[in-house]
Amino acid sequence: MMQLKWSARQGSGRKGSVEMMESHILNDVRAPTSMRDIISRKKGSVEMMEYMFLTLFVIVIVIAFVIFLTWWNVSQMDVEKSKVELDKTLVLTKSLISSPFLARDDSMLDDGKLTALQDMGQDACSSIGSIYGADWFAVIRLLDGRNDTICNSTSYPDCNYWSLCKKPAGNIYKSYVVPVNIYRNLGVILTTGVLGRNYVGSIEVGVYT
Amino acid sequence: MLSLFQVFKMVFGVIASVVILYFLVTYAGVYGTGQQDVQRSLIMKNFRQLADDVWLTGNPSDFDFSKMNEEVYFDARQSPPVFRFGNSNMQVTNPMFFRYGDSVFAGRSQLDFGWWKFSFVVAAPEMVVVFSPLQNTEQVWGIMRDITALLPDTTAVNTKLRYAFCGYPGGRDISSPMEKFEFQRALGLNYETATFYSCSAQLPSNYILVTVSVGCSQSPSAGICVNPDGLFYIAGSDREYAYMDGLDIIAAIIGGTGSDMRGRASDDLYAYKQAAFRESMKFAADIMANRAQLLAGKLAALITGRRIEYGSEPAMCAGNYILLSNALQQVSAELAQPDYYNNNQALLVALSQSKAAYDALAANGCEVPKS
Repeated sequence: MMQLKWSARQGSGRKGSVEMMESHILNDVRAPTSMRDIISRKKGSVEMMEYMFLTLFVIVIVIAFVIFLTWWNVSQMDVEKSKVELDKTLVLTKSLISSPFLARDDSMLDDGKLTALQDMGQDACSSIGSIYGADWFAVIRLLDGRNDTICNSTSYPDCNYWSLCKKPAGNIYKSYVVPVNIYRNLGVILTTGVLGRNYVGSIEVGVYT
Repeated sequence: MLSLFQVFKMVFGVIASVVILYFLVTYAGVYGTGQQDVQRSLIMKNFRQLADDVWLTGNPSDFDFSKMNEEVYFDARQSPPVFRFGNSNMQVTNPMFFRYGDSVFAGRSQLDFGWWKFSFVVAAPEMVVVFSPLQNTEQVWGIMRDITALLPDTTAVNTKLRYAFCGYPGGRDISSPMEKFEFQRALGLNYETATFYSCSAQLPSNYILVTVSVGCSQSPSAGICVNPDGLFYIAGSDREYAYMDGLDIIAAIIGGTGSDMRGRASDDLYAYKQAAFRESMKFAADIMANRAQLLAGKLAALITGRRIEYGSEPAMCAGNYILLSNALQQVSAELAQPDYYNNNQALLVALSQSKAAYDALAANGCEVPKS
Protein backbone atom coordinates (compact mmCIF):
# COMPACT_ATOMS: atom_id res chain seq x y z
CA MET A 1 0.00 0.00 0.00
CA MET A 2 2.78 2.38 0.94
CA GLN A 3 4.62 1.62 -2.24
CA LEU A 4 1.50 2.27 -4.31
CA LYS A 5 1.00 5.53 -2.56
CA TRP A 6 4.60 6.50 -3.14
CA SER A 7 4.40 5.62 -6.84
CA ALA A 8 1.26 7.69 -7.23
CA ARG A 9 3.10 10.61 -5.78
CA GLN A 10 5.89 10.15 -8.27
CA GLY A 11 3.35 10.54 -11.09
CA SER A 12 4.04 14.26 -11.26
CA GLY A 13 7.47 15.46 -10.17
CA ARG A 14 6.34 18.98 -9.42
CA LYS A 15 3.30 17.91 -7.47
CA GLY A 16 5.48 15.55 -5.41
CA SER A 17 8.07 18.25 -4.50
CA VAL A 18 5.30 20.68 -3.57
CA GLU A 19 3.78 18.10 -1.28
CA MET A 20 7.18 17.42 0.33
CA MET A 21 7.70 21.14 0.82
CA GLU A 22 4.23 21.45 2.25
CA SER A 23 4.86 18.62 4.60
CA HIS A 24 8.11 20.25 5.76
CA ILE A 25 6.33 23.57 6.29
CA LEU A 26 3.31 22.15 7.96
CA ASN A 27 5.34 19.63 9.82
CA ASP A 28 3.02 17.05 8.39
CA VAL A 29 3.22 13.55 9.76
CA ARG A 30 3.42 12.28 6.15
CA ALA A 31 7.01 13.61 5.73
CA PRO A 32 8.80 10.99 7.79
CA THR A 33 6.40 8.40 6.31
CA SER A 34 7.65 9.20 2.81
CA MET A 35 11.27 8.80 3.93
CA ARG A 36 10.30 5.54 5.52
CA ASP A 37 8.69 4.58 2.21
CA ILE A 38 11.94 5.23 0.36
CA ILE A 39 13.97 3.31 2.94
CA SER A 40 11.33 0.61 3.08
CA ARG A 41 11.35 0.23 -0.71
CA LYS A 42 15.15 -0.13 -0.78
CA LYS A 43 15.03 -2.48 2.17
CA GLY A 44 12.28 -4.50 0.44
CA SER A 45 14.37 -4.84 -2.71
CA VAL A 46 17.39 -5.92 -0.69
CA GLU A 47 15.30 -8.40 1.29
CA MET A 48 13.83 -9.77 -1.91
CA MET A 49 17.31 -10.16 -3.38
CA GLU A 50 18.51 -11.77 -0.16
CA TYR A 51 15.58 -14.12 -0.25
CA MET A 52 16.19 -15.04 -3.86
CA PHE A 53 19.89 -15.60 -3.20
CA LEU A 54 19.05 -17.75 -0.21
CA THR A 55 16.61 -19.80 -2.28
CA LEU A 56 19.16 -20.09 -5.07
CA PHE A 57 21.75 -21.20 -2.54
CA VAL A 58 19.41 -23.85 -1.13
CA ILE A 59 18.63 -25.09 -4.64
CA VAL A 60 22.36 -25.23 -5.45
CA ILE A 61 22.98 -27.20 -2.22
CA VAL A 62 20.15 -29.62 -3.04
CA ILE A 63 21.40 -30.09 -6.61
CA ALA A 64 24.96 -30.58 -5.36
CA PHE A 65 23.70 -33.17 -2.88
CA VAL A 66 21.77 -34.98 -5.60
CA ILE A 67 24.79 -34.88 -7.94
CA PHE A 68 26.95 -36.26 -5.13
CA LEU A 69 24.47 -39.07 -4.42
CA THR A 70 24.22 -39.90 -8.12
CA TRP A 71 27.99 -39.90 -8.47
CA TRP A 72 28.29 -42.08 -5.38
CA ASN A 73 25.67 -44.46 -6.71
CA VAL A 74 27.29 -44.68 -10.14
CA SER A 75 30.75 -45.20 -8.66
CA GLN A 76 29.34 -47.88 -6.34
CA MET A 77 27.73 -49.54 -9.34
CA ASP A 78 31.08 -49.50 -11.15
CA VAL A 79 32.74 -51.06 -8.11
CA GLU A 80 29.90 -53.59 -7.89
CA LYS A 81 30.17 -54.36 -11.62
CA SER A 82 33.89 -54.94 -11.23
CA LYS A 83 33.26 -57.20 -8.24
CA VAL A 84 30.57 -59.12 -10.16
CA GLU A 85 32.99 -59.66 -13.04
CA LEU A 86 35.68 -60.92 -10.68
CA ASP A 87 33.14 -63.14 -8.91
CA LYS A 88 32.00 -64.52 -12.25
CA THR A 89 35.61 -65.28 -13.14
CA LEU A 90 36.20 -66.99 -9.82
CA VAL A 91 32.98 -69.04 -10.07
CA LEU A 92 33.90 -70.05 -13.62
CA THR A 93 37.41 -70.99 -12.51
CA LYS A 94 36.05 -73.19 -9.73
CA SER A 95 33.50 -74.76 -12.08
CA LEU A 96 36.06 -75.47 -14.81
CA ILE A 97 38.66 -77.13 -12.60
CA SER A 98 35.96 -79.55 -11.43
CA SER A 99 34.10 -79.72 -14.74
CA PRO A 100 33.45 -83.27 -15.97
CA PHE A 101 34.34 -82.01 -19.47
CA LEU A 102 37.89 -81.07 -18.50
CA ALA A 103 38.69 -82.79 -15.27
CA ARG A 104 39.34 -86.33 -14.22
CA ASP A 105 38.51 -85.47 -10.62
CA ASP A 106 38.11 -82.29 -8.54
CA SER A 107 41.02 -79.94 -9.31
CA MET A 108 42.69 -82.56 -11.50
CA LEU A 109 42.49 -81.85 -15.22
CA ASP A 110 42.80 -84.69 -17.71
CA ASP A 111 45.28 -84.08 -20.53
CA GLY A 112 43.35 -86.44 -22.83
CA LYS A 113 40.13 -84.44 -22.43
CA LEU A 114 41.97 -81.14 -22.84
CA THR A 115 43.61 -82.36 -26.05
CA ALA A 116 40.28 -83.69 -27.35
CA LEU A 117 38.74 -80.26 -26.68
CA GLN A 118 41.67 -78.54 -28.36
CA ASP A 119 41.16 -80.70 -31.45
CA MET A 120 37.44 -79.90 -31.54
CA GLY A 121 38.36 -76.21 -31.96
CA GLN A 122 35.53 -73.71 -32.31
CA ASP A 123 32.86 -76.44 -31.95
CA ALA A 124 34.13 -77.11 -28.44
CA CYS A 125 33.99 -73.42 -27.68
CA SER A 126 30.37 -73.01 -28.75
CA SER A 127 29.31 -76.25 -26.98
CA ILE A 128 30.99 -75.38 -23.71
CA GLY A 129 29.76 -71.79 -24.10
CA SER A 130 26.15 -72.96 -24.06
CA ILE A 131 26.85 -74.69 -20.72
CA TYR A 132 29.04 -72.14 -18.94
CA GLY A 133 28.04 -69.00 -20.84
CA ALA A 134 29.90 -67.08 -23.53
CA ASP A 135 32.84 -64.64 -23.57
CA TRP A 136 35.45 -66.39 -21.51
CA PHE A 137 38.64 -68.32 -22.13
CA ALA A 138 40.88 -70.81 -20.38
CA VAL A 139 44.60 -71.29 -20.87
CA ILE A 140 46.22 -74.32 -19.24
CA ARG A 141 49.96 -74.74 -18.88
CA LEU A 142 51.93 -77.68 -17.62
CA LEU A 143 54.72 -76.30 -15.45
CA ASP A 144 57.50 -78.52 -16.77
CA GLY A 145 60.05 -75.80 -17.47
CA ARG A 146 59.87 -76.28 -21.24
CA ASN A 147 58.69 -73.85 -23.89
CA ASP A 148 54.94 -73.76 -24.57
CA THR A 149 53.96 -76.40 -27.13
CA ILE A 150 50.26 -76.51 -27.95
CA CYS A 151 48.66 -79.92 -27.53
CA ASN A 152 46.75 -81.54 -30.39
CA SER A 153 46.37 -85.05 -31.74
CA THR A 154 49.75 -84.73 -33.53
CA SER A 155 51.88 -83.25 -30.76
CA TYR A 156 50.32 -85.22 -27.88
CA PRO A 157 51.80 -86.25 -25.45
CA ASP A 158 54.97 -84.17 -26.10
CA CYS A 159 53.19 -80.90 -25.40
CA ASN A 160 52.30 -78.72 -22.43
CA TYR A 161 49.82 -76.00 -23.40
CA TRP A 162 46.10 -75.83 -24.10
CA SER A 163 44.09 -72.77 -25.07
CA LEU A 164 40.28 -72.79 -25.12
CA CYS A 165 38.08 -70.03 -26.56
CA LYS A 166 40.88 -67.44 -26.47
CA LYS A 167 40.12 -64.33 -28.51
CA PRO A 168 42.80 -62.33 -30.33
CA ALA A 169 44.90 -59.93 -28.26
CA GLY A 170 43.30 -56.55 -27.64
CA ASN A 171 40.09 -57.81 -26.02
CA ILE A 172 39.84 -56.62 -22.43
CA TYR A 173 39.36 -59.28 -19.76
CA LYS A 174 39.67 -60.02 -16.06
CA SER A 175 41.33 -63.29 -15.18
CA TYR A 176 42.50 -65.53 -12.37
CA VAL A 177 45.48 -67.86 -12.53
CA VAL A 178 45.34 -70.80 -10.13
CA PRO A 179 47.47 -73.91 -9.74
CA VAL A 180 45.95 -77.24 -10.79
CA ASN A 181 46.95 -80.85 -11.09
CA ILE A 182 47.13 -82.18 -14.62
CA TYR A 183 46.84 -85.91 -15.08
CA ARG A 184 48.89 -87.18 -17.99
CA ASN A 185 47.40 -90.42 -19.24
CA LEU A 186 50.67 -91.40 -20.93
CA GLY A 187 52.82 -90.13 -18.09
CA VAL A 188 55.45 -92.86 -17.80
CA ILE A 189 56.05 -95.25 -20.70
CA LEU A 190 57.70 -98.55 -19.81
CA THR A 191 58.13 -101.55 -22.03
CA THR A 192 55.68 -103.48 -19.90
CA GLY A 193 53.08 -100.78 -19.44
CA VAL A 194 52.02 -97.18 -19.48
CA LEU A 195 51.42 -95.35 -16.25
CA GLY A 196 49.47 -92.19 -15.64
CA ARG A 197 51.19 -89.38 -13.76
CA ASN A 198 50.18 -86.17 -12.07
CA TYR A 199 51.91 -82.91 -12.97
CA VAL A 200 51.59 -79.46 -11.52
CA GLY A 201 50.16 -76.89 -13.89
CA SER A 202 48.27 -73.65 -13.94
CA ILE A 203 44.97 -72.58 -15.38
CA GLU A 204 44.18 -69.01 -16.34
CA VAL A 205 40.47 -68.35 -16.65
CA GLY A 206 39.43 -64.99 -18.01
CA VAL A 207 36.09 -63.31 -18.63
CA TYR A 208 35.92 -60.71 -21.39
CA THR A 209 34.43 -57.42 -20.22
CA MET B 1 -2.21 -5.87 5.83
CA LEU B 2 0.36 -7.96 3.96
CA SER B 3 2.95 -6.12 1.95
CA LEU B 4 3.66 -7.09 -1.65
CA PHE B 5 7.04 -8.44 -0.55
CA GLN B 6 5.41 -10.68 2.00
CA VAL B 7 3.01 -11.96 -0.64
CA PHE B 8 5.94 -12.55 -2.96
CA LYS B 9 7.82 -14.38 -0.19
CA MET B 10 4.87 -16.64 0.45
CA VAL B 11 4.21 -17.46 -3.19
CA PHE B 12 7.88 -17.91 -3.98
CA GLY B 13 8.39 -20.01 -0.86
CA VAL B 14 5.51 -22.27 -1.70
CA ILE B 15 6.63 -22.75 -5.32
CA ALA B 16 10.27 -23.34 -4.34
CA SER B 17 9.27 -25.77 -1.57
CA VAL B 18 7.00 -27.75 -3.88
CA VAL B 19 9.69 -27.95 -6.57
CA ILE B 20 12.40 -29.01 -4.12
CA LEU B 21 10.11 -31.45 -2.35
CA TYR B 22 8.95 -32.99 -5.62
CA PHE B 23 12.53 -33.32 -6.78
CA LEU B 24 13.67 -34.90 -3.53
CA VAL B 25 10.73 -37.30 -3.34
CA THR B 26 11.22 -38.41 -6.95
CA TYR B 27 14.94 -38.80 -6.44
CA ALA B 28 14.47 -40.65 -3.16
CA GLY B 29 12.08 -43.03 -4.94
CA VAL B 30 14.56 -43.72 -7.75
CA TYR B 31 17.43 -44.02 -5.29
CA GLY B 32 15.40 -46.30 -3.01
CA THR B 33 14.42 -48.57 -5.91
CA GLY B 34 18.06 -48.70 -7.00
CA GLN B 35 19.17 -49.66 -3.50
CA GLN B 36 16.48 -52.35 -3.32
CA ASP B 37 17.72 -53.76 -6.64
CA VAL B 38 21.27 -53.76 -5.31
CA GLN B 39 20.12 -55.58 -2.17
CA ARG B 40 18.23 -58.18 -4.22
CA SER B 41 21.25 -58.64 -6.47
CA LEU B 42 23.40 -59.25 -3.40
CA ILE B 43 20.97 -61.84 -2.06
CA MET B 44 20.89 -63.63 -5.41
CA LYS B 45 24.66 -63.44 -5.74
CA ASN B 46 25.00 -65.09 -2.32
CA PHE B 47 22.52 -67.78 -3.33
CA ARG B 48 24.35 -68.51 -6.56
CA GLN B 49 27.60 -68.70 -4.62
CA LEU B 50 26.00 -71.17 -2.22
CA ALA B 51 24.56 -73.24 -5.10
CA ASP B 52 27.98 -73.34 -6.78
CA ASP B 53 29.62 -74.44 -3.53
CA VAL B 54 26.97 -77.13 -3.08
CA TRP B 55 27.56 -78.27 -6.68
CA LEU B 56 31.32 -78.43 -6.14
CA THR B 57 31.44 -79.98 -2.69
CA GLY B 58 28.22 -81.99 -2.53
CA ASN B 59 27.52 -80.63 0.97
CA PRO B 60 23.83 -79.71 1.33
CA SER B 61 22.83 -76.33 2.72
CA ASP B 62 19.82 -74.04 3.01
CA PHE B 63 19.22 -70.40 2.13
CA ASP B 64 16.90 -67.69 3.48
CA PHE B 65 15.09 -65.61 0.86
CA SER B 66 12.81 -63.81 3.34
CA LYS B 67 14.47 -60.42 2.73
CA MET B 68 14.00 -60.72 -1.02
CA ASN B 69 10.46 -59.19 -0.85
CA GLU B 70 9.76 -60.41 -4.36
CA GLU B 71 9.45 -63.79 -6.00
CA VAL B 72 12.42 -65.09 -7.97
CA TYR B 73 11.49 -66.66 -11.28
CA PHE B 74 13.75 -69.45 -12.46
CA ASP B 75 13.64 -69.07 -16.24
CA ALA B 76 14.51 -72.57 -17.38
CA ARG B 77 13.59 -71.73 -20.97
CA GLN B 78 16.86 -69.82 -21.38
CA SER B 79 20.12 -71.64 -22.10
CA PRO B 80 21.86 -71.44 -19.67
CA PRO B 81 18.89 -70.70 -17.35
CA VAL B 82 18.61 -67.37 -15.52
CA PHE B 83 17.09 -66.15 -12.25
CA ARG B 84 14.75 -63.22 -12.91
CA PHE B 85 14.03 -60.76 -10.08
CA GLY B 86 12.95 -57.13 -10.17
CA ASN B 87 14.53 -55.54 -13.23
CA SER B 88 17.54 -57.83 -13.08
CA ASN B 89 18.50 -61.33 -14.03
CA MET B 90 21.40 -63.59 -13.13
CA GLN B 91 22.80 -66.51 -15.06
CA VAL B 92 22.89 -69.98 -13.48
CA THR B 93 26.35 -71.52 -13.79
CA ASN B 94 25.73 -75.18 -13.03
CA PRO B 95 22.73 -77.46 -13.73
CA MET B 96 20.01 -76.68 -11.22
CA PHE B 97 16.38 -77.52 -10.52
CA PHE B 98 14.93 -74.65 -8.55
CA ARG B 99 11.65 -73.61 -7.00
CA TYR B 100 11.36 -70.36 -5.06
CA GLY B 101 10.34 -70.17 -1.40
CA ASP B 102 11.12 -68.05 1.67
CA SER B 103 13.66 -70.64 2.69
CA VAL B 104 15.09 -73.31 0.39
CA PHE B 105 17.32 -76.35 0.81
CA ALA B 106 20.03 -77.01 -1.76
CA GLY B 107 21.70 -80.35 -2.33
CA ARG B 108 23.72 -82.01 -5.07
CA SER B 109 22.97 -85.32 -6.76
CA GLN B 110 24.56 -87.18 -9.64
CA LEU B 111 23.56 -89.44 -12.50
CA ASP B 112 26.48 -91.82 -12.95
CA PHE B 113 27.22 -93.27 -16.42
CA GLY B 114 30.69 -94.57 -15.57
CA TRP B 115 32.57 -92.52 -18.16
CA TRP B 116 30.68 -89.37 -17.11
CA LYS B 117 28.68 -88.05 -14.17
CA PHE B 118 25.91 -85.51 -14.59
CA SER B 119 25.90 -83.44 -11.39
CA PHE B 120 23.01 -81.14 -10.58
CA VAL B 121 21.70 -79.08 -7.69
CA VAL B 122 18.14 -79.43 -6.40
CA ALA B 123 16.92 -76.32 -4.54
CA ALA B 124 13.35 -75.99 -3.31
CA PRO B 125 11.33 -74.92 -0.27
CA GLU B 126 10.40 -77.35 2.49
CA MET B 127 8.38 -80.20 1.01
CA VAL B 128 7.24 -83.78 1.57
CA VAL B 129 7.26 -86.33 -1.24
CA VAL B 130 4.41 -88.77 -0.60
CA PHE B 131 4.77 -92.08 -2.44
CA SER B 132 1.74 -94.16 -3.18
CA PRO B 133 2.79 -97.53 -4.66
CA LEU B 134 -0.12 -99.51 -6.06
CA GLN B 135 1.69 -102.80 -6.89
CA ASN B 136 4.27 -104.79 -5.03
CA THR B 137 6.64 -105.36 -7.93
CA GLU B 138 10.38 -104.70 -8.13
CA GLN B 139 9.77 -102.26 -10.98
CA VAL B 140 7.48 -100.11 -8.84
CA TRP B 141 9.85 -100.24 -5.88
CA GLY B 142 12.84 -99.58 -8.14
CA ILE B 143 11.27 -96.34 -9.37
CA MET B 144 10.74 -95.12 -5.81
CA ARG B 145 14.35 -96.04 -4.96
CA ASP B 146 15.69 -94.21 -8.04
CA ILE B 147 13.73 -91.05 -7.29
CA THR B 148 14.72 -91.02 -3.62
CA ALA B 149 18.39 -91.69 -4.44
CA LEU B 150 18.51 -88.66 -6.72
CA LEU B 151 16.93 -86.24 -4.24
CA PRO B 152 19.23 -84.50 -1.72
CA ASP B 153 19.61 -85.57 1.90
CA THR B 154 18.53 -82.69 4.14
CA THR B 155 19.22 -84.32 7.51
CA ALA B 156 21.87 -81.71 8.35
CA VAL B 157 19.92 -78.61 7.27
CA ASN B 158 16.89 -76.78 8.66
CA THR B 159 14.78 -76.66 5.50
CA LYS B 160 13.68 -80.23 5.00
CA LEU B 161 12.84 -82.51 2.13
CA ARG B 162 11.09 -85.50 3.65
CA TYR B 163 9.25 -88.60 2.50
CA ALA B 164 6.14 -90.53 3.45
CA PHE B 165 3.89 -93.32 2.21
CA CYS B 166 0.19 -93.01 1.52
CA GLY B 167 -2.07 -96.00 0.94
CA TYR B 168 0.65 -98.41 2.07
CA PRO B 169 -0.02 -99.75 5.53
CA GLY B 170 3.54 -101.14 5.72
CA GLY B 171 5.08 -97.69 5.92
CA ARG B 172 4.69 -94.65 8.16
CA ASP B 173 1.91 -92.39 6.97
CA ILE B 174 1.90 -88.74 5.97
CA SER B 175 1.61 -87.42 9.53
CA SER B 176 5.18 -88.45 10.32
CA PRO B 177 7.36 -87.93 7.25
CA MET B 178 10.85 -89.38 7.25
CA GLU B 179 14.32 -88.17 6.38
CA LYS B 180 15.97 -89.66 3.28
CA PHE B 181 18.07 -92.33 5.06
CA GLU B 182 15.04 -93.50 7.09
CA PHE B 183 12.89 -93.69 3.99
CA GLN B 184 15.55 -95.57 2.03
CA ARG B 185 15.67 -98.07 4.89
CA ALA B 186 11.88 -98.39 4.69
CA LEU B 187 12.14 -98.98 0.93
CA GLY B 188 14.61 -101.79 1.60
CA LEU B 189 12.11 -103.71 3.73
CA ASN B 190 10.12 -106.64 2.36
CA TYR B 191 7.10 -105.42 0.41
CA GLU B 192 6.03 -108.60 -1.36
CA THR B 193 3.22 -109.49 1.00
CA ALA B 194 1.98 -105.92 1.46
CA THR B 195 -1.43 -104.65 0.41
CA PHE B 196 -2.05 -101.26 -1.12
CA TYR B 197 -4.91 -98.88 -1.65
CA SER B 198 -5.28 -95.66 -3.58
CA CYS B 199 -4.31 -92.52 -1.63
CA SER B 200 -7.32 -90.33 -0.94
CA ALA B 201 -5.85 -88.18 1.87
CA GLN B 202 -6.14 -84.39 1.66
CA LEU B 203 -2.50 -83.32 1.45
CA PRO B 204 -1.16 -79.93 2.63
CA SER B 205 0.12 -77.60 -0.09
CA ASN B 206 3.79 -78.46 0.42
CA TYR B 207 3.15 -82.19 -0.01
CA ILE B 208 3.39 -83.75 -3.46
CA LEU B 209 1.84 -87.11 -4.22
CA VAL B 210 3.81 -89.50 -6.44
CA THR B 211 1.71 -92.52 -7.37
CA VAL B 212 3.65 -95.41 -8.91
CA SER B 213 1.46 -97.87 -10.76
CA VAL B 214 1.07 -99.78 -14.02
CA GLY B 215 -2.43 -98.29 -14.19
CA CYS B 216 -1.32 -94.64 -14.50
CA SER B 217 -3.01 -92.72 -17.29
CA GLN B 218 -3.41 -89.11 -18.38
CA SER B 219 -4.67 -86.40 -16.02
CA PRO B 220 -4.34 -88.10 -12.62
CA SER B 221 -6.54 -86.61 -9.89
CA ALA B 222 -3.59 -85.39 -7.83
CA GLY B 223 0.19 -85.11 -8.00
CA ILE B 224 2.28 -87.14 -10.39
CA CYS B 225 1.54 -90.65 -11.59
CA VAL B 226 4.51 -92.71 -12.76
CA ASN B 227 4.01 -95.74 -14.94
CA PRO B 228 6.93 -98.22 -14.92
CA ASP B 229 6.59 -98.51 -18.72
CA GLY B 230 8.55 -95.23 -19.11
CA LEU B 231 5.80 -92.61 -19.02
CA PHE B 232 4.49 -90.35 -16.30
CA TYR B 233 1.57 -87.94 -15.99
CA ILE B 234 0.97 -84.70 -14.09
CA ALA B 235 -2.37 -83.64 -12.57
CA GLY B 236 -3.97 -80.88 -14.62
CA SER B 237 -1.93 -81.66 -17.73
CA ASP B 238 -3.04 -83.65 -20.76
CA ARG B 239 0.52 -84.44 -21.79
CA GLU B 240 2.35 -87.74 -21.63
CA TYR B 241 5.89 -87.33 -20.29
CA ALA B 242 8.57 -89.88 -21.26
CA TYR B 243 11.31 -90.51 -18.74
CA MET B 244 14.79 -91.95 -19.11
CA ASP B 245 15.82 -91.72 -15.48
CA GLY B 246 14.61 -90.48 -12.11
CA LEU B 247 15.71 -86.91 -12.86
CA ASP B 248 12.83 -86.43 -15.32
CA ILE B 249 10.38 -87.21 -12.54
CA ILE B 250 12.32 -85.03 -10.09
CA ALA B 251 11.95 -82.10 -12.52
CA ALA B 252 8.18 -82.59 -12.27
CA ILE B 253 8.29 -83.00 -8.47
CA ILE B 254 10.24 -79.76 -8.01
CA GLY B 255 8.11 -77.90 -10.55
CA GLY B 256 4.90 -79.09 -8.87
CA THR B 257 1.46 -79.45 -10.39
CA GLY B 258 0.50 -75.77 -10.36
CA SER B 259 0.69 -73.33 -13.24
CA ASP B 260 0.64 -69.53 -13.53
CA MET B 261 0.66 -66.92 -16.29
CA ARG B 262 4.10 -68.12 -17.37
CA GLY B 263 2.85 -71.69 -17.76
CA ARG B 264 3.55 -74.90 -15.87
CA ALA B 265 6.88 -74.80 -13.99
CA SER B 266 7.16 -78.61 -14.17
CA ASP B 267 6.94 -78.46 -17.99
CA ASP B 268 9.76 -75.90 -18.08
CA LEU B 269 11.98 -77.91 -15.72
CA TYR B 270 11.23 -81.13 -17.64
CA ALA B 271 12.18 -79.45 -20.93
CA TYR B 272 15.25 -77.92 -19.27
CA LYS B 273 16.37 -81.33 -18.00
CA GLN B 274 16.13 -82.79 -21.48
CA ALA B 275 17.95 -79.85 -23.08
CA ALA B 276 20.69 -79.60 -20.43
CA PHE B 277 21.14 -83.35 -20.27
CA ARG B 278 21.25 -83.74 -24.04
CA GLU B 279 23.64 -80.84 -24.50
CA SER B 280 25.95 -81.91 -21.68
CA MET B 281 25.88 -85.60 -22.47
CA LYS B 282 26.45 -85.11 -26.20
CA PHE B 283 29.35 -82.80 -25.49
CA ALA B 284 30.81 -85.18 -22.90
CA ALA B 285 30.37 -88.15 -25.29
CA ASP B 286 32.14 -86.26 -28.09
CA ILE B 287 35.05 -85.33 -25.81
CA MET B 288 35.38 -88.82 -24.36
CA ALA B 289 35.12 -90.44 -27.83
CA ASN B 290 37.90 -88.16 -29.13
CA ARG B 291 39.97 -88.83 -26.03
CA ALA B 292 39.50 -92.60 -26.38
CA GLN B 293 40.53 -92.41 -30.05
CA LEU B 294 43.55 -90.27 -29.19
CA LEU B 295 44.73 -92.66 -26.48
CA ALA B 296 44.05 -95.73 -28.63
CA GLY B 297 46.05 -94.22 -31.49
CA LYS B 298 48.97 -93.25 -29.28
CA LEU B 299 49.06 -96.65 -27.59
CA ALA B 300 48.95 -98.36 -31.00
CA ALA B 301 51.83 -96.13 -32.14
CA LEU B 302 53.84 -97.11 -29.07
CA ILE B 303 53.25 -100.78 -29.84
CA THR B 304 54.18 -100.33 -33.51
CA GLY B 305 57.29 -98.39 -32.51
CA ARG B 306 58.16 -101.26 -30.12
CA ARG B 307 58.35 -98.91 -27.16
CA ILE B 308 55.91 -101.21 -25.39
CA GLU B 309 55.49 -104.93 -25.79
CA TYR B 310 52.77 -106.41 -27.96
CA GLY B 311 50.34 -108.32 -25.71
CA SER B 312 51.10 -106.15 -22.68
CA GLU B 313 48.40 -104.35 -20.69
CA PRO B 314 48.49 -101.13 -22.78
CA ALA B 315 47.95 -103.17 -25.94
CA MET B 316 44.68 -104.45 -24.46
CA CYS B 317 43.79 -100.93 -23.42
CA ALA B 318 44.10 -99.74 -27.03
CA GLY B 319 41.41 -102.24 -28.10
CA ASN B 320 39.16 -101.29 -25.20
CA TYR B 321 39.51 -97.59 -26.00
CA ILE B 322 38.40 -98.28 -29.57
CA LEU B 323 35.29 -100.06 -28.22
CA LEU B 324 34.54 -97.15 -25.88
CA SER B 325 35.00 -94.63 -28.67
CA ASN B 326 32.60 -96.53 -30.95
CA ALA B 327 29.96 -96.80 -28.19
CA LEU B 328 30.27 -93.10 -27.36
CA GLN B 329 29.98 -92.11 -31.00
CA GLN B 330 26.75 -94.10 -31.06
CA VAL B 331 25.55 -92.23 -27.93
CA SER B 332 26.35 -88.92 -29.61
CA ALA B 333 24.56 -89.97 -32.81
CA GLU B 334 21.43 -91.01 -30.86
CA LEU B 335 21.42 -87.73 -28.94
CA ALA B 336 21.53 -85.85 -32.24
CA GLN B 337 18.16 -87.38 -33.23
CA PRO B 338 15.41 -84.75 -32.81
CA ASP B 339 12.98 -87.13 -31.11
CA TYR B 340 15.51 -89.10 -29.11
CA TYR B 341 13.61 -88.70 -25.86
CA ASN B 342 10.39 -90.34 -26.88
CA ASN B 343 12.23 -93.12 -28.74
CA ASN B 344 15.02 -93.58 -26.24
CA GLN B 345 15.57 -97.36 -26.46
CA ALA B 346 18.49 -97.02 -28.92
CA LEU B 347 20.08 -94.41 -26.64
CA LEU B 348 19.64 -96.61 -23.59
CA VAL B 349 21.34 -99.50 -25.44
CA ALA B 350 24.22 -97.24 -26.52
CA LEU B 351 24.58 -95.95 -22.95
CA SER B 352 24.65 -99.48 -21.61
CA GLN B 353 27.36 -100.45 -24.15
CA SER B 354 29.45 -97.40 -23.32
CA LYS B 355 29.21 -98.13 -19.60
CA ALA B 356 30.27 -101.75 -20.24
CA ALA B 357 33.24 -100.58 -22.36
CA TYR B 358 34.31 -98.13 -19.65
CA ASP B 359 33.97 -100.79 -16.95
CA ALA B 360 36.16 -103.08 -19.05
CA LEU B 361 38.82 -100.34 -19.26
CA ALA B 362 38.66 -99.89 -15.50
CA ALA B 363 38.84 -103.63 -14.93
CA ASN B 364 41.98 -103.83 -17.13
CA GLY B 365 43.61 -101.00 -15.22
CA CYS B 366 43.50 -98.62 -18.21
CA GLU B 367 41.21 -96.16 -16.41
CA VAL B 368 40.95 -95.32 -12.74
CA PRO B 369 37.24 -95.28 -11.80
CA LYS B 370 36.14 -91.85 -10.58
CA SER B 371 35.45 -91.40 -6.91
